[in-house]
Amino acid sequence: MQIFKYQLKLLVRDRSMLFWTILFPLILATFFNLAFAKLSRTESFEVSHVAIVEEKVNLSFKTVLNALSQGDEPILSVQYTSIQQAKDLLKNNDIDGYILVNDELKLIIRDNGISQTILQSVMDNYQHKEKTMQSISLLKPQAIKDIVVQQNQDYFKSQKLSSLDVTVIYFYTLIGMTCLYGGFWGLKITNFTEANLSRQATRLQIAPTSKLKASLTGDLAAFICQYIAIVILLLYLYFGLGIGFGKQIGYILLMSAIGSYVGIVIGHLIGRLFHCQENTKTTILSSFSLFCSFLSGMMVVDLKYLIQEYVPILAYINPVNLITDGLYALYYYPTYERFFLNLTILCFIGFILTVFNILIARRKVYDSL
Amino acid sequence: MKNVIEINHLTKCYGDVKALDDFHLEVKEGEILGLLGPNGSGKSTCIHTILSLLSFDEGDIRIFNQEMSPSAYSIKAKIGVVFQDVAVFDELNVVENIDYFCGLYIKDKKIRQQYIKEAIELVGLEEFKKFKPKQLSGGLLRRLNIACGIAHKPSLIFLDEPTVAVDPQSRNHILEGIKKLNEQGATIVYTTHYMEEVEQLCHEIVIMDKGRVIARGTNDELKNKISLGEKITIVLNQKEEELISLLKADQQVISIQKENLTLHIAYQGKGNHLADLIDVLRESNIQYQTLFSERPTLNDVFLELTGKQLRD
Repeated sequence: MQIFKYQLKLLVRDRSMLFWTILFPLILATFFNLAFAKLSRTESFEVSHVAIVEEKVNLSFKTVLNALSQGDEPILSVQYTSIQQAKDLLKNNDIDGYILVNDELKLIIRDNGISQTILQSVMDNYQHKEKTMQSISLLKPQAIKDIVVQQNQDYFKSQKLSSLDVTVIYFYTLIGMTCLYGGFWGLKITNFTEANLSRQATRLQIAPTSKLKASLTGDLAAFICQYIAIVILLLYLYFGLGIGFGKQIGYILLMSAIGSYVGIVIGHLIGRLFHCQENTKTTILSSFSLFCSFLSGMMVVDLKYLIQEYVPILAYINPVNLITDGLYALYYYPTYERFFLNLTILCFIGFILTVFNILIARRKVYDSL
Repeated sequence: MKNVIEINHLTKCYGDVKALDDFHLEVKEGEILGLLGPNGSGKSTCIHTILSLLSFDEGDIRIFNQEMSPSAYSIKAKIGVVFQDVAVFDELNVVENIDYFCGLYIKDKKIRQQYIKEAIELVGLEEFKKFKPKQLSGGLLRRLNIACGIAHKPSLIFLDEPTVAVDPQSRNHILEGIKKLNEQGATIVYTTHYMEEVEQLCHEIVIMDKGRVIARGTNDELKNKISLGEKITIVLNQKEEELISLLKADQQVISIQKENLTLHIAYQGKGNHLADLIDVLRESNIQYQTLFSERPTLNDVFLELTGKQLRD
C-alpha cells in the first residue's frame, strides 16, 4: 500500500505526463471538432453519387440501395450503368465511385473524400450484415432472404443522415491513440522498477521488497491514471463536443480499459527493450502511437479501409485500429460480433505483451548497470 | 569479531575486461572499511556485485554468514546503500522521499515516522523537510541521498563515494554522520578516491586497482609497507649544488626532485630526518626560505605499489 501510494503520487505529480495523457488529447479533440464541425452538420452533406454495375443480380443489395437513395434525406444518388459508362462517369467526376456487383461487392473510387468514405461505410455495413445473415442461413435457410432484406431496410431506414457521421472515426482513433499513451505511464513505472534504468529502481532492487509486487502496484497506479485520462476524454467528447458513441457505454468503457492496459504494457516493453535515454524512449512511444493512429485513419480515413482490404493483418495487429474499429462497430452495427472480435484480438495482444514483459522482467541480476 | 562480509575469488568480466579479478574481501562487524582506488578500479562494480545487482562469473559472496542472492530478503533487510549518484525522486519532498525508501524496509508507520525524524536529524535537514530535491543545493541533496539510504537503521551500510562534488560544510556533516552511524553499531563499507577521507574515517583500508586488492591494513600499516618514510620540502634562497651533493651522499635519501629553488626530498625508514637536515643546512651555511616535513600519504602507498597516482 505504501509503495502504491507513492507510485500514484509520482505519476500524478509529473506535469509532462499529465499534459500528454490528458491535456493533449483534449486539445487534439478540440482541433478535430473545429476542423470537422462543418462536415458533421447535416446540411453540409451532399448526396454521394454512385454508379452500380450489375454483373450479377443481388436483390438484397439492390433493396438497400433503394432505401438509401429515397426518402426526405437520401444518402445516395444511384444510377445503373455498364462498366464502360461507369468508368467514363468516374473519369469525368460525375460520380464519386462505382460498385461492381458480382459474387462479391467491389467499390472503385478515384479520390479520397467524405463522399467516398460514405460509400465505403455503406459497403462495410452491408457486407458485415450479409455475413451475419449467412451464418444464420446455416440454421434457417428458407427465411434468410426475407430477413436480409427486411433487416437492411429497417436498419438503414432507422439511420438518419445526421447520424451517419463518418468523422466519428477521427475521434475514435483519437481515443485509440490516447489508450496507447498509457504507455507513458508504463514507461515511467518501468523506470521505477528496473535497476538498470534508474538509481531509484536500484534502491528498490536492493530492498527486501519483491520486484513483482512493485511492478503490479505500479501497473495499478498507471492504470488508474490512464483510465481517468480516458474517461475525461470520453466525457469531453460526449458532453463537450457532442460526439456520438451509441448507447453501449459499458462496452465503450470495457474497450477503453483493455486499450489502456495494452498501452501500459507497450510502454513497459519499450522501456525494457530499448537501451537508450528516457527521452528517446518517449519519442519512440509517441511515434509508434502516432503511426498506429495514422494507419487507423486518423489523418486519412480511407487508409483504414485500404489497410483492411489489402493488408488485413496490419489492421488486426494495430491496437489503435482495433479500438477504433471496435467503437465504430459499436456505434454503427446493431450486432456485437465485430466489436467482440476487435476486443478479443486486443485482449490477445495484451496477453502476449504481458508474457513478453514477464519474461524480460523475471531477471533478478543485471550484466551491467 | 565475526565477519559480516566474506568474499572469495570473485571475478566479474565485461567482455574481455576483468572488472573484478579474483577479488577477496572480509569485513568485520562494527568496523569502517575503506575501499580506496582510482576511478575505474572496480569499487562500484564490487559493491553492486556484493548486493546481487550484477551477475558475476566466479566466486562466492556471504553476508551475515549467509549466501547472498537477489531473493535473500532477510539479508537485504539489514543492508543500507548510499549510491554515488543521487537516487531520489524530484516529485517528492524530503520527508516523502525518505518515507518511500524507508517504507520498502519498515512497514510499521509509527516506527517509520520515528526513523525518518532521526535520519533527518542525522543529516541535518530539519529546516528542509518540505523542500523538493530541485530546491536543495548539491550538498543538501547528497545529505538527502544518505538519509534515504540509512533511514531504516541498517546494520551494514555501503557508502559509494557519498561526498563527490560536495561543499566542505556538507562533507564534514556527512563524515560526522557516518561516524555516528558507526558508533551506533553499523558496519560500514566506504568507497572513495579521496584518501583524506579514508585516513580520517576508516579503521581498515583496502586498496584496489584493476579489480584486485593490492594492499590491506590500517592507515599506519599500509604506510609502513612502503620504503618511503618521510618527505621533506625545502625552498632555498639560491641554487645550492653543494646541498644536492650532500643529500645524494645520504643513503637514507631515496629521491630528490628539483623545481626551481624548491627541493622535494624523499627519505626511507621511520626516523625523523628533519633535524638532521637542519644540522646539515646550518653547518654548510645554506640559507632557505621554507622547510617542512610530511609523513607519506595513501597516495604515496598507491604510487609505490602501482606506479601511478590515485587520481590518475
